[in-house]
Amino acid sequence: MTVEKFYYDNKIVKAFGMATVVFGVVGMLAGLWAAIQLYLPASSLNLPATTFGRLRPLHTNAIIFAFVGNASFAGIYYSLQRLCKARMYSDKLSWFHFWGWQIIIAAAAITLLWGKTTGKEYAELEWPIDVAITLVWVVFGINMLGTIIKRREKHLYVAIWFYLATWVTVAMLHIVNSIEIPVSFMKSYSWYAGVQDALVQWWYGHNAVAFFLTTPVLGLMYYFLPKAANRPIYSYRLSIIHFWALIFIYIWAGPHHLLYTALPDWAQSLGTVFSIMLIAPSWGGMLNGLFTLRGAWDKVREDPVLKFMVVAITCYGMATLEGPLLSLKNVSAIAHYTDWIVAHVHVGGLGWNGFMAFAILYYLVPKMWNTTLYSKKLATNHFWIGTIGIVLYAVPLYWAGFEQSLMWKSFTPEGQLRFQFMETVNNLIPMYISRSIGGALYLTGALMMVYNLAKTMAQGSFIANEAAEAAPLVKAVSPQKEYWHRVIERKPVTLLVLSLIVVAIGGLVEFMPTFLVKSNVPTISSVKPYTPLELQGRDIYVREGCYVCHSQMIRPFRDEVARYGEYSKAGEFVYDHPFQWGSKRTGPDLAREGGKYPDSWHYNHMYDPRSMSPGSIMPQYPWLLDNKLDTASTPAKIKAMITLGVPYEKDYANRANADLMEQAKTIEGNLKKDKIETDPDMEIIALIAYLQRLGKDIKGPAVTAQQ
Amino acid sequence: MKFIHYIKNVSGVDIMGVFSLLVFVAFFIGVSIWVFKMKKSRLDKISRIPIDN
Repeated sequence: MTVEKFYYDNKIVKAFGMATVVFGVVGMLAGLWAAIQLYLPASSLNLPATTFGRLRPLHTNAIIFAFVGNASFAGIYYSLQRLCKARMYSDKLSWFHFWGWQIIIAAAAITLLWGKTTGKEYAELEWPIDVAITLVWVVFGINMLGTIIKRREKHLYVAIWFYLATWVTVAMLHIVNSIEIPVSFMKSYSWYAGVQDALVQWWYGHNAVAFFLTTPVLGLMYYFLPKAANRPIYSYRLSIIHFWALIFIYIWAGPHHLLYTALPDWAQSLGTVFSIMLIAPSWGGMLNGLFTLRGAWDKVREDPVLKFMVVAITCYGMATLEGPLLSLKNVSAIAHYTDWIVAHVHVGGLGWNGFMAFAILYYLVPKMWNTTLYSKKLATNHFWIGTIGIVLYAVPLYWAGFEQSLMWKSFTPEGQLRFQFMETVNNLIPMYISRSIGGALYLTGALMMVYNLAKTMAQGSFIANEAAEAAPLVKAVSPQKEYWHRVIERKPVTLLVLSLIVVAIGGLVEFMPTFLVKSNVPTISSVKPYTPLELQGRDIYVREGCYVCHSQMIRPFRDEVARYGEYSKAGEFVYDHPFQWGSKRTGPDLAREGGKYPDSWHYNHMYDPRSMSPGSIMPQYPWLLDNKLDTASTPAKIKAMITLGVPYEKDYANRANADLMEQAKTIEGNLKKDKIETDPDMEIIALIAYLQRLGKDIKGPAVTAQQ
Repeated sequence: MKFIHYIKNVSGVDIMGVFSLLVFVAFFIGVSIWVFKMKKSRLDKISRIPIDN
């Protein structure tokens, strides 16, 4: 048989690898800065772009899509070529993917800091960028499938399955969650409202973790771990079960982010059950990884790549045990809205994703530069400083979450809440300081890696095109009927379609009843659409990322009802495009904020939170007092809302601004009574209008439900 | 005014729970049968793909 000579494309791997390093450092810096703001609010510099509400989305997006995304692409482009014994299908598509992705990241960085956001966590990017992501993702898929189709290896190794499932599921999640109606070039409203928006968002949010941060990285584990340990994976059977069970179950688990909220009980229970079931495949995968090293633990002592992988896989196991436990309603009752969740995420992010990315970089650079690592000792030090960083980061936050939750729920013998919200926050400051030290250590480790890799590159010489040889794949003529599983194993498109069916089932079953809700849930008669001024204020609330620290969802617990008021009802959110339930209470819940304080309190509080609430860690928003409200956008916004089914009168768009000014003047008058002079057409006025509206719909005595 | 009262009125919502359980059990059994019917020699061959490259 003739042997074909061909070349692996290392240049594209190098490009994605470089991007991983750069955006990793940027993303971690953003995270560290945001973390410091929690105990030094002045470090927001009182600038809109560098304030927590905008910096935190930048951090999460940079880490998820730029750091882990680029690392996954680097690993996939390297391993896919070798597993298929073929160069990538098209160099042009590879580079289109690379530059397209980096431009999206740059656009994301600019728009997020600029305050252009959809207000849905991890899906904050506005519609033009969503369209670009779809385009680049399709190109990535074509390139990957093309490579698989022209491969010289008969079997599709399990890593490739993970890559394909990642591709098809992320495509589905991104498209479904990003359905939005554009209002202007950089503003859109989610197609869904309230409960439905929440369900779709957390179906997306949870599976962004599953299919962007987990499945591609598991694929990389199944390639790079055997490679680094120089032995096959412990059980290939287990890897197949791991794959199918994981992709099947993960997609159902989203509702566990909404336990005790206004989401239907039925969907909550489904989320819990499937989350618990997730332990099995996740731990199957972890054990498969760790058992691969049986009898080779001496190598772990020597090789920094394996060291990072062992801790990464262990963190994967820890996070995937903790996740299901957090999905139990009684545990969620304690952990939800607290720093416990932040700790949990960072065990996964810093431990699993970060350490896997480091391991792959330490593996790839010496290989592609045809040399050895510049300093093993430095890499080992990176490993230790990173590990200590993770511990210093996570442990105080676990403590913080647990303690704050207990303080929230604590009552005096007389039946009063024992602690003011502010007391529970101030109690966390030492833990916040420690976590930022942990984060700083982790970042220091990453910088050590940058130096080490740069030195390694300098001492080696880069092999842009790596020569390889393999026999072409002859079309198999099988004498007897093939088993169906053999067919799947060889046919990428069949595998792709099957994966899509498997992941689509969960989504469909969850969505169907909830989308039927629209016609079956009685709307609460007193719940009315937002006034134009409130709508503008709400958009400012979204723009400044208030949802990052404030929830708008009171769970039906004694302490929450005592602290915030009547628990939230699904019918209250029917006009909320997007929903703003939030996921974290760094500050108090705002679902019933309306009418709690006078307008002047909010005015002063936005200018300097500490003047009204001593000890507050909220940033200052002085620009809201100086910015003129963009009233020119009001008609377009009302029109978009009408399209989405919000019952404004048909011609209301043209009259909206008159109503807006009228309401603004009332607030201006209220402020004047408290000796605050301001124009009515300022952003702060709109925001006050929105905050004063929150939760008021059902505060009146006569709340009736209409069938 | 608990939300569950309304979702209970959605006709056939209990079917969804039973359906999801059955689908998963059937799926899981299917995958298990497939995996355990695979020949050891083939599995070994496939699992060596990353190392032999």
